[in-house]
Amino acid sequence: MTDVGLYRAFQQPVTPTLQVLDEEGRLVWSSKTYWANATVLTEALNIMETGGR
Amino acid sequence: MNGKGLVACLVVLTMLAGCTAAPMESNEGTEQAVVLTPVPTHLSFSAPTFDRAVDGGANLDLRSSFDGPVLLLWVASGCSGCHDWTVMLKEELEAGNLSNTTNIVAVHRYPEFESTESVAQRYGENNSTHFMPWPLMLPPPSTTVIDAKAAA
Repeated sequence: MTDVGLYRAFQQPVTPTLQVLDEEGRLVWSSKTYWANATVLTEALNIMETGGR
Repeated sequence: MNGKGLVACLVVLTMLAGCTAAPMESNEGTEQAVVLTPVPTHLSFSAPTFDRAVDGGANLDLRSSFDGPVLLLWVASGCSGCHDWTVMLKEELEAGNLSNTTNIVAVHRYPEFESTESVAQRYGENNSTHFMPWPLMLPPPSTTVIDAKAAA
């Protein structure tokens, strides 16, 4: 456990925020697009598939 | 006090002006910078859940609970955009466009302002208007992160 607060570690997410953590826990992608958007979701899923590379 | 005495007194006071107090110490170079602990590059945290069947336990540790990448959705119960994203993710799951193995996790933001009851009513119960069929974490505001690399 660290003394780093959750919100600071996750870059002060507002709501809604969509983020991708790779399999090792690195924050590799983030979007604060307010309304659901298929393009943004596709981008997130692509990042998940490629592991953020 | 005669006139000369008054004038002399005023002259002396004028000369003393600005010199009656010890010089202020400069803060330059003496202020201590607030040093924040660096954010770990590999993040995890644990938080309570509603302990539903889909939550994977009453307390979830993000990194140790999932294999592979995780899609995090930060939500509040009163956030229309969050409802919208919830609907889209559910529709994509139901349409088969999202694999059942895609790790989706919702995290409640703003527990200082919203009760867990309102989150349960919105997202947590089977008859909720925006029921989430994926884990929903409820971290208190004081939650700190785990260095997932150090913990590995």
